[in-house]
Amino acid sequence: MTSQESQNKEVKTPADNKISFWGLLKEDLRHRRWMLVLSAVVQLLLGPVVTLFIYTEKKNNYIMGFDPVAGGEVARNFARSMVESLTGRYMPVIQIVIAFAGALIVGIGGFRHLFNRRMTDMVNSVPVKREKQFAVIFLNGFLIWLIPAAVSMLFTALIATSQYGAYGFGEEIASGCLRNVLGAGFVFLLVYALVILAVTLSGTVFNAVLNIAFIGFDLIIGYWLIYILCQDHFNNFMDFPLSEYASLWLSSLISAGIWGMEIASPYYALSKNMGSDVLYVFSLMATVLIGIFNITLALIIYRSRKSEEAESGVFNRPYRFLSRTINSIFAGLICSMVIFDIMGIYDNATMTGWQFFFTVVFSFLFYGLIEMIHARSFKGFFKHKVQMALTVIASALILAVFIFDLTDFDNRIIPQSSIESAKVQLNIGVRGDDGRMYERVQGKEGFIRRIDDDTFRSSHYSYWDITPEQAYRVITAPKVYYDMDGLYIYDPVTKIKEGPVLPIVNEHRVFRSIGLIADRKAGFDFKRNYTIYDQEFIDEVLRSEGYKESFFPLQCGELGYPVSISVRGTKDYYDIQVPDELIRPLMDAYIADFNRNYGLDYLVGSYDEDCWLSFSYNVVIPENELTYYPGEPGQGKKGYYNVTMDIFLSDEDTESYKILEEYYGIEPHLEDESEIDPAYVYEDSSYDPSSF
Amino acid sequence: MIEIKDISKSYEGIDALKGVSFDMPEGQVFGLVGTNGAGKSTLLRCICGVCKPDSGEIIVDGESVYENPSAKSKIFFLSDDQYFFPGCTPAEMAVYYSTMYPGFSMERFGNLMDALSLDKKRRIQTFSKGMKKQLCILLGISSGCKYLLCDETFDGLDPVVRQAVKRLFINDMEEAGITPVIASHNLRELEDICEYVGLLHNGGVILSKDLGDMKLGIFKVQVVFKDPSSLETVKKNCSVISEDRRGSLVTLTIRGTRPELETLITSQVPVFYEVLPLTLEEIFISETEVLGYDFTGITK
Repeated sequence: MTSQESQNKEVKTPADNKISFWGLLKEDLRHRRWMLVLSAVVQLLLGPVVTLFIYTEKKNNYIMGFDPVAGGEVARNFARSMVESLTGRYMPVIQIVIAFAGALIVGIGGFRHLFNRRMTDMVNSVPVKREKQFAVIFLNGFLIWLIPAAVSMLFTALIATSQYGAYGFGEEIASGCLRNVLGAGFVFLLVYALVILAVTLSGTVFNAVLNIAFIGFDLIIGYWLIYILCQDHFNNFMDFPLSEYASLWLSSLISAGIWGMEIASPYYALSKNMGSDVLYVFSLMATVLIGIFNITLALIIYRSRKSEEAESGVFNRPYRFLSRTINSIFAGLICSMVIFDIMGIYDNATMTGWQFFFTVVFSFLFYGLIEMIHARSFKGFFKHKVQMALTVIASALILAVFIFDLTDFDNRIIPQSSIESAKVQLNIGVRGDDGRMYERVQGKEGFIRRIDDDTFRSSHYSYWDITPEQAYRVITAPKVYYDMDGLYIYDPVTKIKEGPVLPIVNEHRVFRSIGLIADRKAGFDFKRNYTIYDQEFIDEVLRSEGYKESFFPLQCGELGYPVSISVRGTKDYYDIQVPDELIRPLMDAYIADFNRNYGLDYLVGSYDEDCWLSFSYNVVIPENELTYYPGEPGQGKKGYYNVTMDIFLSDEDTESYKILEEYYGIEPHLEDESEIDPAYVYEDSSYDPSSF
Repeated sequence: MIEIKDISKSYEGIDALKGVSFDMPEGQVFGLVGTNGAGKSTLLRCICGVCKPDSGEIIVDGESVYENPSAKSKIFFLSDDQYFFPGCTPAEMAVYYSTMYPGFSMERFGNLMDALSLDKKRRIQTFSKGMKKQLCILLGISSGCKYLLCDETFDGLDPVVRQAVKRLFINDMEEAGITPVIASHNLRELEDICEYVGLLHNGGVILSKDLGDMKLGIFKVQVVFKDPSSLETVKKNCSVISEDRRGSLVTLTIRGTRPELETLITSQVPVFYEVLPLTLEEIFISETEVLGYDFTGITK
C-alpha cells in the first residue's frame, strides 16, 4: 500500500461516520449507573414499600374491631382514607421531595466534568458537539429520575389496587399515581433546569450549590427585602402588585414545589392563594417560562464555556459581577432590617446611624467574601476595589431611599375612581386561640374551618369586604407617622404633619395598621398597610356587615356540641368551669350579644383588665363536620376533634354576663361602668388613646 | 495538514499564546518543543478543540477545528495527565472511546494491550503512572485518528516501552498515515523520532521547520586563532548566536551552511577549527538564549 493510498483510507474512516445519539446516551448512562441504582432504590423504598407500611400502620390505628376482609362501610371508609393518604397526601410530598433531591444530585452529577479540568479536557476533545453532549446529559438525567419514578408508581398503583380496588377506588388510585408522577416531573424539570444553570456557571461543587441558592432565591429575597423595608419605613403608602403567595413564583425552587404539589394532589391547592385568576395564570406561566429560560441560558453558557473554567470558582464575568453586587447589597440591607427589629420599630437618629453602619459593613464584608469564593483565593477579597466601594455606596443609598423616602413614594394617593372593590384586614388580633381563627365554610351549614395564623394570616380569608368609598377613606385618613423625634399625625391629602403628639416611647405601638387590598380597575390588585389614627373610622369598618359575616358566623348550634365553657378574665371569674346546664344558655346569650353589638368590643380582650371576660369554649365536633383546610374535607383521627376557642366579651349590658352574674351572684369590678374604652392591644400590653 | 493561523490565547490576563502561526505537515512526526510556560499544552489543547483561541484559527485538513466534529474526529488528544473514569477498566475506557471515535479498533486495542502485557480488566486506578501512559497511548493509536496530539507522553515510560511506542508510531505513519504531534522537554527523545520541529518560547513561535534543515543551518564551531582580530572578522561576517571561551579555544554557535562557515574560518587561518552539528537540545538552548532565556548566571 502506498503512502497516498493509506492516507486516503484513513481520512475516510472516522470523519465519515456519525456518532449516534443513542450510543452517546448509552455511554453516558454507563458512567452514571450509580445514580440510576440510587434513584431506583429510593423510589421503590418510598413508593411501594411505604404503601405497604402505611397500610399496616393505618390498620393498627383504625377503629378497634375493624376487619377489612369483612368489607362493609367501615372497610370502605378505611380504603378511602388509605387512597387519600397515598395518592393525595403522603405520596405527593414524598415524590416531590425525591424530585427535588434527584434534580440536585443528577444535575450536579451529570455535569460533574465541569468541576474537573482533566475530565473537561477529555469531554471537550472528543468529536461531539457541545449541544449534543448537553442534550445527552440532560435527557439521561431526566430518565434516571423518570424511569424509576414511573416504575415505582406503577408498583404502588398495583399494590394499592390489590388492597382497595375492590371498593371501587381503582380509577382514583391510577389517576392519583399518574398525577404524582406528573407533579413530581414538573418539579424535577424546573429544579433540574435551575441546577444545570448554576452548574454551568460554576467551576466547583461548592460554588454550584451556592449559585443554586443565589439564583433560586435572589429574586424573592429582593422582593421581600423591598416589601419589609416599605413596611418598616413607609408610614402612609405601601404599594405592592403581588400578594405574598403570588410573589412565590419569583423563586424557581419554591414555585416549582407549589405547582408540583398542585399537579400531584387535589389536597394541596396552594397556588390558589396567589390571588386573582390573572395572577394564578401569570404565576404558572412565569414559573414555566423561568424554567425554560434557565435551561436555555444553561445551554448557551455550556456551549461557550471555556475549558479552563473547570476548577475555578465562578468564571462567568457578568454573573460574577451580578452575583457579588446583588448579594452583598442584600446582605447589607438584611442587616439593617435586623438592627431595626432589635432596636425597636420606631425611627430615631441613633438607630438610623446604626442601620447605615451595619449596612455598609456587611455589604463590604459580603462583597469581599463572595469575591473570595468566586476566585477561590483569600487575595480575591480586594480584587475589585472600585466596584466594591460602589456597591457599598449603593447599599447605603438604597437604605436611604427607604429611611428618608427620597422618592416621595410615601405620599402617593391613588384616585377613588380607580378602585373596583376593596377588602381590609385589621392587624389587631383576630378572634381565636393563639393565632388560630375559625370561620364558617360558606354554603355549608354546621361547618367551620380552622385557619392557622402562620399559614393563612395574610391570605384573603382573613379579609372582609368594604366599599370603594371606605377604601378611599382608609387611604386618605390621617395616619400615625413616626419620625425621628416623636409620633406625628399626618394628613396625606393636605400633606400637613402635626405633632409630635407623643415622644417616641412604647405607647405608639397601640396603633396598628389596616391592611387594604384594592382591586384596581386597571388590572392587578394592590395591597397596602395603613396605620390609621381615626379610631371611630376603625370602629365603623369593624361594625360592617362584611366583618360580621366573615368573622362572627356563629349561630346557635353551629359549633356542634359544646361540652364545657370556662370563664376567665377577672379575679372573680378566674378560670371557672360553668356547669353543664349553663352551657347552652350561655352560648345562646353570647350569640345574641354578638349580633346586637358586634365590633371592636368583641374583637380583642385583655386578661389583665377587669372589664373583660374571656370565654373558652371546649367544643366537640362530630367527625366530618370539621375541616382542617379551606375547602377540603377532613376527618378526626378518632372520630372527634376538640376545638378550643377563646373569645372576648365586655360586661357592658350583655346577656351572657347577666347569666353569669345571676348564677354566681358576683358583680364585676368596673372603674367606670357607664363606659368601656376601646383598647387596642398589642402583645399583651394595652393603651388607652384617650389619655392624650 | 494542521494550519495554525495567528492564534492567541490568554488566561486571566496572562498571554499563553501570542500570534502563533505555523503549519504541521502530515505524515511526519512533529516535535513541539519549548521553554516552561511557552504555551505547548495550550497550543495542543487549542488544536484538539478543547480550548477556543481568543483570536486566530486552527485548520485541520481544510476545516476549522473548534466545535467541528468532522475535524475533531481526526484528532486524538493524549493529555499529560489523562482522565480515566473512576473505577474504570481499560476495556471500559476503550468502549467509551469506541463510541466517540467510530474508527476505533477494539481488536487492535486488545492486541496492543496483550503485547504490552496490560490487563484489560484491571482497574485503571491500580495502574502505575507509566502503565496509565501506555494505556493512554494505546487508546490513541487504536482510535484510528489521523493526528495524535501527545502532551509529554513519553514521560514516565521505561526505555523499552518508549522504543516500542516509537516503533508503533513509525509503523502507523507508514501504514495508516498518522501524524503524531509530540510536545516534550526531552529533546534527545524527540530528536530520535521527529522530522519536523516547532519551537515555542514565551507564547510565540521561534521557528518551525524540518529538523534536518534546521540542523543544516546552524553549527557549533570550535576554533583557535593566533591573531585575536581573526575572531572579530569571523564574528562580523556571520550570524553568531552564542560565544564561549576556554583559554584560547573559542566555541561559537553560528547560523549558516557548513561550506560557508568553513570558507570563512579557513580564510582567517586558524590554528585549529572544527565545525560540529548541533543537537536539538543545543539548538533549543541557543535559540532561547538569544531571546534572553538564560540562567547561566544563577550560581553567581
